[in-house]
Amino acid sequence: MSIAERLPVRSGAGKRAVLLGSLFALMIVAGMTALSFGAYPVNLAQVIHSLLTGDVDRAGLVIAQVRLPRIVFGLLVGAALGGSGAALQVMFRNPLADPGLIGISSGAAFGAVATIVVGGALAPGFMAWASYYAVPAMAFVGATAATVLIVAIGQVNGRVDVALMLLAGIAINAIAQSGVGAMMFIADDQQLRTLTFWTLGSLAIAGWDALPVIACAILLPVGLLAVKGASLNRLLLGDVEAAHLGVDVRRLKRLVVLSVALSVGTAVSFAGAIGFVGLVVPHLLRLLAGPDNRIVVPGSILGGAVVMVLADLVARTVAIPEDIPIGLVLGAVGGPFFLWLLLARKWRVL
Amino acid sequence: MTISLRQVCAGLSGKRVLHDIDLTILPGQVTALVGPNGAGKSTLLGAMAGDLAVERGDVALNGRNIRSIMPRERALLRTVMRQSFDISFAFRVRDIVEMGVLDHVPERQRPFLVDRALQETDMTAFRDRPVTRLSGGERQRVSFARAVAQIRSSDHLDCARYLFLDEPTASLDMAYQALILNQARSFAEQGLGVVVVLHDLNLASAVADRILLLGGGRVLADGGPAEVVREDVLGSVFGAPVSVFDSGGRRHVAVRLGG
Repeated sequence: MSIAERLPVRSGAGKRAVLLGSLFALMIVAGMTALSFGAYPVNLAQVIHSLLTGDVDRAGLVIAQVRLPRIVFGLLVGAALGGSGAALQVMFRNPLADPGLIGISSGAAFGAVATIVVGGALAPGFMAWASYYAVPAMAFVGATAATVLIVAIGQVNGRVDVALMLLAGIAINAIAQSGVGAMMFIADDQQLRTLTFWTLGSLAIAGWDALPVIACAILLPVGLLAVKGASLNRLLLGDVEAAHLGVDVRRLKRLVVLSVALSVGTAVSFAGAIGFVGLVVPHLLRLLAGPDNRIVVPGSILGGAVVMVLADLVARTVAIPEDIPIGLVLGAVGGPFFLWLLLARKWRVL
Repeated sequence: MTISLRQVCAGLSGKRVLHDIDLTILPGQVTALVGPNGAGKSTLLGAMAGDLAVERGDVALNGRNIRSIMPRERALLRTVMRQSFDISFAFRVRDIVEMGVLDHVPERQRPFLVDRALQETDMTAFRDRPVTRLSGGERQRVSFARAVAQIRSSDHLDCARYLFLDEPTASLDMAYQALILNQARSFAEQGLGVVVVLHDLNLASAVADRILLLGGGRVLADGGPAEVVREDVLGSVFGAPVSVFDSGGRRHVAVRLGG
């Protein structure tokens, strides 16, 4: 029995409000915790004081200019990956689908890696100055190109053929991966370090200047997905069945593909190719609350944000003053945790 | 207030299945579609329900081209139950039935419509079972309960509504065959136009006011059970020797085995 069924509220809406409300509260707690820890020691009282007053003492500066933008960025990236993963699993009717599957992450990775290596070789002076913007911009171009290509291949007479799209995604993934491999092969040692960092993901790039754009490009599509839970539930019965129940299937699929492309494209462009969250967070939600997408999709958005911020907290505190790539943390902590959860379900101790 | 098909030609993946169908489906009746395998029964049902675009001709629901009606409104006007469904996520029976409750129904009333549909279809005992652990026949009954929930959520409309059932009894035992077809009859008595694809001619002649016998994508016979369920008609369409006899005021059919 999932936790959702043990709640003492009977109505579906009440249950959803309790679960999503708790996740939202958890997200605030995770954010405050992450603000309080890091290379420069501050305590929770200082955090709250700084947030309320905007004081520019040393602690206030660390919080306002370093930690807060990074945490906001982490929340956004996690929301994009979690929400997109949940929606894609529904569209592909496959619990193993993940934003990486439709080529978005590897397209972005190729765009970024090629910019670092080729740009570095052709115009080293320019790259030293412009890489902060040029790498995410080209990553976004790569993500968009991969998505457009896969969607174009996956369209048959105006319908999205999900199986064809999935196969095209696998092919595009393979091509982009080998492109990334080729770039790594010709990169010099310094570039290789940047590449590794990028392919494992990091939230270190965050600053207030890019955040408004990132926030719009993530919150709008993810918000649209969050309110489509009932239609996504019906889509799981099949395209024809969903249409029988009043779903405009063609429009819904288009919405999912575009929303995922925009939000994940933006997230990976700035944070690098971060796996795991899009696949695992929706599963956590299903284990906790059952398969109802009116909970799973918004819940994965909030849950993805929580997981990302906590993983980043670990990434920047285990080896102070170094930042380790967030992909390492997600794999090392998240992997065993997820395994434990699966085994606990199997042995029925949870 | 009918479903009318004029000169309809339709096909599946390039192959033409239906040829020049002219038909009118009336509300308040049960119309059974029967015929040999590949005769075009399910395709005809799909064309009437607005699932597939016809190649030629016109399908109109209450006077409007069915494909021009937005999906949300179409769902109010017609309910479709296909044989079964396949789902890889562990929804409970009540969740699947709730998907039939259309979006305009306020949150507070949804559980009542779900419980009512479960009651009407004798599925209350399955309410909290995960559908991934049900048998094929049980899933078919869940589909029917979902269809009932959909019909109940548009009960407030006063225009003609329709119910399409594609072999609703295929994997059910006798008791549930009777339950579903009795329910279909009572929907027709409440004013719905019911169209049901059936393989079993005995069930068709028991439940239907009108039987459409299809063969090769055309309507070969159209009328009440007494006009369609005849040895000469069935024998030529199915290409097998059949015996037809009357009992209890109904037509019964049996195929003659052994040459």
